[in-house]
Amino acid sequence: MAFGVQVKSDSGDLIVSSDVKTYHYIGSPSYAGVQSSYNNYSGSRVYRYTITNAETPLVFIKPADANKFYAVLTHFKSGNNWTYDVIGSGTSDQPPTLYAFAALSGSTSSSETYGVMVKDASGNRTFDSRDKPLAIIDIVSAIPPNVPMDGGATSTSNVDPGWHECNIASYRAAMEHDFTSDDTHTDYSYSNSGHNSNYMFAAPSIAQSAYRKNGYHYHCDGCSNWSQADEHHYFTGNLGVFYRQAYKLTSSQVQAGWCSVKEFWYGNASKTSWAPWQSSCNSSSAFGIPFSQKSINRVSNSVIIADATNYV
Amino acid sequence: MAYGFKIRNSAGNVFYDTTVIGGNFLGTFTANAGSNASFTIPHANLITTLYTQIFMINDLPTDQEALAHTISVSSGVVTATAQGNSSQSQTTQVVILGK
Repeated sequence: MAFGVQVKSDSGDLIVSSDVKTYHYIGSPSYAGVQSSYNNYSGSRVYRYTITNAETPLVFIKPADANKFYAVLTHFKSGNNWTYDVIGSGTSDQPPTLYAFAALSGSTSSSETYGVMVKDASGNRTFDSRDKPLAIIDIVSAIPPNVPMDGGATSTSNVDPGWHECNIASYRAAMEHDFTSDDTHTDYSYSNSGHNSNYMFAAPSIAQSAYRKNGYHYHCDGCSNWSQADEHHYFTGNLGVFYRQAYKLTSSQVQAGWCSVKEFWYGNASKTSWAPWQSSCNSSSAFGIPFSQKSINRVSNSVIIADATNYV
Repeated sequence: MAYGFKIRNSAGNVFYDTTVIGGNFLGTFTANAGSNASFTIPHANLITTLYTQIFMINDLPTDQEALAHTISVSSGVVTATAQGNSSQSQTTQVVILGK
């Protein structure tokens, strides 16, 4: 650095530079509604937001409910228009408030005539106190547990749900598992000395997980009785749940956990006999789970924590 | 604070000083599905610690095994390596911050 400005923090880290751009507040993305809902087990919502900006935003989530898990699920870009999908756990609509930050572009819209402004060698602003630079409280590297379910990992060994005639729902009830995920998370402490209800975090959801249970039943009425017609009873079923990674921000911890997003179910009950008649009894649509018994994309991601009070 | 740096807002409240972690944006790049990509961090010598965030973009995969790129950092270069086959690999965006 032959010229310019560098300001370092008490820890010796860079906080203002004429070479490196600082994130600044660009606004609160507009809430556009619930994209999808899942109401079983721990449940989840996918909330949609939009914002327009020339530079790539970094989006923070201020939870609507401190007991819920949230994360940025995905985003879409069209020109300078950004659409964000944010996942939140729970079975009711509780959209969080988002705060977006980006590197500075163009000139400030502030009418303030005081403060600190730093430009790079090309004359572009890297730091401008009038545009509310991002002050980070802490950054935590977090990864969720390998198995999302509060009831632990399922086995693919068949369970016998018994015989429930043609009532597919009854078979499912007999195959249930504790697929909730509220209490399954990895906990990380963070610098929380000034914690307040406006704390927010930026964190993506890329990890996915899916687990299943398999069911099978067979019995025969009459097979051991020469005076009775043989009647064979079969049931085959699969029950699975798909999860996405999410985070809860408590007053002292970042909790890396999961949201249940979707379930998969297949059941087929049938009865046969030696006689010419045959009944397929009842069947649901195909199972369709994309994978199971594992978590993918499960890597450490940075969870950035800041105080939204400065940007309200 | 006997020395250092404070910025106050118009209400006189300190919102940025030498106790914070600066929101230093070092760059972002997109690694397309099935392809590797890399990004050289400008002024990496000014940064003591790098942080990355990995996003899967333009996608909400609930019906397929969707694999993001894996990320490695070496000598100021961030490399995203595609995972899986063509139906599994997803487009990944990498955001790089530092302090």
